[in-house]
Amino acid sequence: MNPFRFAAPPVFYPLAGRLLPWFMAAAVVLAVAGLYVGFGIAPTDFQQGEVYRIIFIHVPSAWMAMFIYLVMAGYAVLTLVWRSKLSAMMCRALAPTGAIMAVIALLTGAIWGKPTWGAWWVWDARLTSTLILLFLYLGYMALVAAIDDTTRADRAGALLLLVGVVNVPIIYFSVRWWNTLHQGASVSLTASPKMASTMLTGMLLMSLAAWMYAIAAALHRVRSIILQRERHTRWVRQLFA
Amino acid sequence: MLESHLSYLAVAYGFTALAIAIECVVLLRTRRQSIEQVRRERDLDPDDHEPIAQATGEAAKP
Repeated sequence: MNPFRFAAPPVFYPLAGRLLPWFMAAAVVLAVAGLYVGFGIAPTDFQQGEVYRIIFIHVPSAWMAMFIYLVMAGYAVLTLVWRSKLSAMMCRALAPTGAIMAVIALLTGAIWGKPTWGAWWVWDARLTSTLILLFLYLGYMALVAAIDDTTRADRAGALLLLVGVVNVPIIYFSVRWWNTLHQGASVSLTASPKMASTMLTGMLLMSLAAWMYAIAAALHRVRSIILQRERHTRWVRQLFA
Repeated sequence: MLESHLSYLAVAYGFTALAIAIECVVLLRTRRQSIEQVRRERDLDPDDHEPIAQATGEAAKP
């Protein structure tokens, strides 16, 4: 079986439609489980009290904002090298969800920062680079919307994505490279976690929920984009015959 | 202290729920508009289309 077959919109469109409800259901189940662990089982933090429970949305949304941008950059490479139509559509489908994740991360961070740092916002390296990530998402969406020629818009957007991807490692390593008010990584692949196992479990469940939601939202959006772009083709017209 | 912390939590979770709800509504609206656009253009110009084989990249069958 040729895997590139799924890059053809007439093949991908029904596949996305079949997968979408499963991802959405997984997102709901994982979010309910994560909130139950986060609010029902995880203990109160001895320093921060109850307000630390913002972690169950702040960290997953921040991770997703970075990860979605990396995925978009991967699709941008496919768009530029192989001129894959579906890759460009996936970039457009992922961008609004990535931007929303960045907004959630920034706002929940500000709400968490006020009672713990005494300030809504500081021009700290982690916060500033995450704000730049939001601007990159908004810039990408504005750029592709401003160019009428779809192919040129896709290629210009892909270039912007590749230029902006340098910001993702800056966000990730900012707490190591600079002396920041933002705390260092609590979870690492190379070290044991610096939090109680129930807190970590709740956070990971919510991260998986955010992941499933982002996939479901992107699949839903890309189906609309496929319909708009392929509306003159017979296979699309036959869908709604 | 506890009450003020709970209000911070409520604002953070309330905002997140609102953001996701808005995204879901926009997704559904965009999909409905796309379907309406396909139907409208098909009704206006029923013969303007490319063959399925060209769209899928498959060879045309006799």
